[in-house]
Amino acid sequence: MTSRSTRFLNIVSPLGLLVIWQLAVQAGLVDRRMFPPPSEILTTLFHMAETGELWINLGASLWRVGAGLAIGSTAGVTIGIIMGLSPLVRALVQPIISATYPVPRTAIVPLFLIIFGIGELSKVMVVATSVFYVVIINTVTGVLSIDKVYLDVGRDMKVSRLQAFRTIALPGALPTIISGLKLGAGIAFLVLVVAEYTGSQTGIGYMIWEGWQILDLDQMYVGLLVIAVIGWLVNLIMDEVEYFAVPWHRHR
Amino acid sequence: MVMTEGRAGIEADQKYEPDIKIRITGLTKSFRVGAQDVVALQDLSLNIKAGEFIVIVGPSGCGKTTLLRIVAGLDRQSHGHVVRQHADPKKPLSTMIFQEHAVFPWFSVEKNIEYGLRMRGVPKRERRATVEQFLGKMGLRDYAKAYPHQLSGGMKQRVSIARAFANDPEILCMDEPFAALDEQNKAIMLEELTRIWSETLKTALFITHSLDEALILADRIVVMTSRPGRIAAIFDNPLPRPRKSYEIRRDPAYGKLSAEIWDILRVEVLKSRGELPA
Ligand SMILES: Nc1ncnc2c1ncn2[C@@H]1O[C@H](COP(=O)(O)OP(=O)(O)OP(=O)(O)O)[C@@H](O)[C@H]1O
Ligand SMILES: [Mg+2]
Repeated sequence: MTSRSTRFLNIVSPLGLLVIWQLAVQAGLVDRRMFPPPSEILTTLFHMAETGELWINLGASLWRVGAGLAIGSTAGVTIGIIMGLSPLVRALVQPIISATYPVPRTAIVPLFLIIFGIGELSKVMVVATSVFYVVIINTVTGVLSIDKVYLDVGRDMKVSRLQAFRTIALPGALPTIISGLKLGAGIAFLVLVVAEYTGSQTGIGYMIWEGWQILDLDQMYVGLLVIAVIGWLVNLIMDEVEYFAVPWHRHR
Repeated sequence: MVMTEGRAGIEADQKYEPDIKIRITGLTKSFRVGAQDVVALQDLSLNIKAGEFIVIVGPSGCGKTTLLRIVAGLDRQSHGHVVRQHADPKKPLSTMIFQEHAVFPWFSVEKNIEYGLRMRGVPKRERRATVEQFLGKMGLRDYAKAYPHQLSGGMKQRVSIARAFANDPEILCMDEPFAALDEQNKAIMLEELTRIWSETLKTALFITHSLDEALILADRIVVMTSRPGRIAAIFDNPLPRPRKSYEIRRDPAYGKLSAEIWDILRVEVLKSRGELPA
């Protein structure tokens, strides 16, 4: 399949789903109190955009995700590469990561509310922590999977440690690191929405939660729709980042 | 003159011979594989003169790569020592062409070729000139900006050869560098290698399974035994230089030497395959 027709289908298939939904509600096949038709949801969406409510919530969520991603991925890549290159650091840090990794990221929300308070910091740190795990695990894997012969070329050419880091370890692990960042971006939204359900007065997650609580299902669906669209956009952006950052690994 | 020595140091009773570039004495290397020691090299000694072209042949798995890696300083011997003389500290002492090519997938062809120069801070303009020169010699001019995954196996091998040649070391260690090349490119590269070697007065160690390559290139041909690798025989190559591959094949000395080497090599290959007692 050509990449153009793949992209076309990527857009058409969710739209098709919305059309079926709309038709099903109009035909009376589904309960419109539970599943308001997409046309109604869109009307609510435009209304919320006009009042500015949408932008405030969207802005709050994007800021938290952005800050969390930046902190989590910077820490993950840096510590990950050091772990990958140093067996000693790996032996020290790996057990801690393995032991804490299985704890569901959303389960730490209450803990972080206690540690960081109910302000912005707790939400950013929940996101950062979740991103950190996938990024560090991918980075370590990436560095360890670099063929030893490339490091031998570096040694044969008498490169310094910093040069080996810059010209071999980092580019060698980059494709895997970027996969980690992609996963991290997805997980960031996931945990953020849950974090915003509790102890927050802004954000897309808050919008969804409040919509449910006051039985304003249109508002809830607007929140879900916005999250879906953003998730999709973030994926597209990450694909572009990958395309330009890893020119030797292009699949299209 | 700077002496670079192996781990065991220089033995006191060695007499000083100024034109010896690489002195290998009693070299033994064993690898720990599980609970066993695999002896790859055993008590191997060889003196290589400055500017000499040494070709090493031997059965697969006899320790050729191991020997080259120790000489290049990439692995440590278990016993014995290697002393290399570094004549010009401004130049790299040795550079290796790896059996696996080891072309960096994340650098373009030109970045790969200039890698050694860039790492030791050679100015950009000078690097450009060298890269241009080797892109031409290797027939890669149209591929300067290409990434290795866009190249064929033979082209990647030429990139790895160019990267080593461009680094301009005193000692070139080459581990089956022409194995993935087609006959035509190989003929061109053989001439190019001979030219670079003679013009820049390099000392060359070259591993191959091809007696043709050995006879065209070598001053001396070292035949190794099956594992554990020792020296089975050393042949001086009497063929006059410059050597053209189609001309030297007609030289009676070519056939005679080929046959002599093959007689010894055949026995070692059979031993390595377990078809003759070691
Ligand atoms: N890192 C290692 N660990 C364990 N054993 C090794 C290692 N490197 C080489 N060996 C063993 O040492 C022996 C010699 O290997 P080497 O690679 O030097 O052979 P070679 O002569 O280069 O063979 P070929 O012609 O197939 O390249 C082999 O038995 C091999 O299994
Ligand atoms: Mg080998």
